[in-house]
Amino acid sequence: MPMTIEVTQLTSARPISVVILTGELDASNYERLIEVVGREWEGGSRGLVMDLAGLTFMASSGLVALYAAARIFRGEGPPDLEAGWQVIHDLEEETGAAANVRLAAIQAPVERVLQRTGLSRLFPIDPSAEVAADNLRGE
Amino acid sequence: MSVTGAGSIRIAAESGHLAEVRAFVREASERFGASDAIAADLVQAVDEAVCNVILHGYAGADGEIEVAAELRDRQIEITVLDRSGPFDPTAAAEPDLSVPPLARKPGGMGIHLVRAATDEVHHRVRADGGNELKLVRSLEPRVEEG
Repeated sequence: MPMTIEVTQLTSARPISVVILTGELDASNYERLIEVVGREWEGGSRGLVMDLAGLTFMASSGLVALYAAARIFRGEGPPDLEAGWQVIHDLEEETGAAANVRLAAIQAPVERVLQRTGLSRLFPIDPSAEVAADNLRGE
Repeated sequence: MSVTGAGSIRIAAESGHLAEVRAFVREASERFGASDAIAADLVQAVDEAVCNVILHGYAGADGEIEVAAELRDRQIEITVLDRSGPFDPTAAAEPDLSVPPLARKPGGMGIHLVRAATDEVHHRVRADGGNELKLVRSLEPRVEEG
């Protein structure tokens, strides 16, 4: 199943982008997601919600895309994808490393991948995109 | 021993074909009576294994990968066959999950997910060249799945 990416911008004191992923995130399309996230940062967004309600599968390459999003929304620019998991190593460990990126409405298979790799500790996870956006606004 | 086959699929070694492999594994798992959780685990494991062959086995070179599914008694066996050079993903070191993700050394996440999602992983170099990777998962639910 191909993956579709929809983006909406929320206007508030802190510009927030909501990226809605539908389908399956794998090695064939994770770079496209990183490009979209990069464009949102360059366009002025300073908070990112990944709405994963329609995402039925995430490969380890998708996890690299999530790391890349965390890095981009820390203002550190896109990672060198040739380095693969090196992008993880490049991020310094600190509390709230991905605080500007929140994941919403995660389905069971994707949640299992995050848990099995320990990445669920890194990303704040909310029950819905609306709650995630409110949390980014500090409401 | 009872053995039921679900056929096989052959793809070019390109990431654009991974979705076809996942669909094949999902359909075979459902036909064998796997729960949603077990089918999802097998889909994850096979995707990671086939992706490893594409990225590290063939490493950009043209090639083919065959994936076959069988039910042996109450175990689903998925076999991944390729003709890239000898490449044993099970030899990769396990990532240290006790270390926070951001401090962890890179690499090994794909094979870690393969191991986590299956009960057994076996690799052998085929006599006529290439690799055979066998992924085994019981139809019985794990304790954490109730």
